[in-house]
Amino acid sequence: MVTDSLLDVCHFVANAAQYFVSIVPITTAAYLPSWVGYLVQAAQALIESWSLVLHLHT
Amino acid sequence: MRKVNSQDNVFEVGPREESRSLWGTYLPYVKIAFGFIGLLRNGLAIYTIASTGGDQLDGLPFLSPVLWLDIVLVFDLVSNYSMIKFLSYPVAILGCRMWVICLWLSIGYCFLGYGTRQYQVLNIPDYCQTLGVSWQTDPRRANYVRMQVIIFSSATAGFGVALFSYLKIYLPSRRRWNVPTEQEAATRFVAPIAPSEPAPETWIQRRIKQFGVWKRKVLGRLPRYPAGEQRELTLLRPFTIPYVGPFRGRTVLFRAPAFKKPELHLSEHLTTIVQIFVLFPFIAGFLMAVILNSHAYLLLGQKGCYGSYVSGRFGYLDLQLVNFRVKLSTWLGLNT
Repeated sequence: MVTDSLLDVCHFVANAAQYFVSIVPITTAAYLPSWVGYLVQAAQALIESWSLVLHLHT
Repeated sequence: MRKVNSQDNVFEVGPREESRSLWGTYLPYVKIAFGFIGLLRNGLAIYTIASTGGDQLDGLPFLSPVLWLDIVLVFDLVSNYSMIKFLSYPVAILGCRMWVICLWLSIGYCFLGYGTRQYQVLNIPDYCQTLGVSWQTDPRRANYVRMQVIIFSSATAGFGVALFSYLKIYLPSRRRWNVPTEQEAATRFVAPIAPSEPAPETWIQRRIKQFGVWKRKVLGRLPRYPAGEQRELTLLRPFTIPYVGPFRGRTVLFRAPAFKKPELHLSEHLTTIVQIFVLFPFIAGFLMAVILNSHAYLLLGQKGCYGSYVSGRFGYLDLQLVNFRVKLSTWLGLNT
């Protein structure tokens, strides 16, 4: 289940208490890569590969 | 289309030429900025590995599998400027070491359980205790491990292709093996044309020749006006040195860049080709991360039981309890 509402989360946990495992992040490994990192890397790749286009064009 | 007024005459510069020229002018500065970001990324990665410790690598976060590519870019920049060219060898050695570290990390994420200890389990209901699910590991992790391997493999394959193509294109050594017979050599022989009396090279021509790649740009921008008139040529306005001299029968005021634009040499060739190879895996990673972090709250199920996992929908900026290093790693592109 995915949601943007905290109220939905509370309802879900209350109704599925016997199936809900309580976990808490303890290491930085819990923070998986976000779209931001990939976007930064993709932008860098695009800009750097542009130099080849420039070189072929001049 | 923009009209450029050069003293009394007006000539037109198309938007395409203008934007291309802008790219060519500012690309070196963009690369320098990326070089600094790359060094920061590598420093942060080494600090993260060192601070995690040898016996706690199961808590190691994802680190970019192309850290070594940043060092290739730094090598490219360093080898371009004569003042710091002596640093190119240590940087090349550092790049090799970073490749080994990235390989080791990829193997570790796949087979050695690096980064699998992510969550502490506080309470497991009776029903969920016998399912054999590892609740300390995020179920989305496997997707990121696959992406990590794809990016590392693509970059390494790209590096191999770039190196091979460079050797194939630029090194004339293969000619050595294609030795013609005497008869073939006789048919191939073309008598050299006697050189005509060369015109004396002007100072401006020597200057233009010195700037290599800029040469065509300079020639292309020379306005075709009657001889004897003075014209201004601007290549890189903030960092130019003005020179006055004769060129093709005219006196020109020639603004030359303060430094030479680098040729597409080995390091630049490598960086460019490898970046093309990793571009599409990064775009795929971006799409995957958008889908896997689509909402603020992720209650993910495994065999009928659920757990709440951290969402990186806003790059962890919306999470106040997350430490600054995690946010910085995410926004620098280290955490990929």
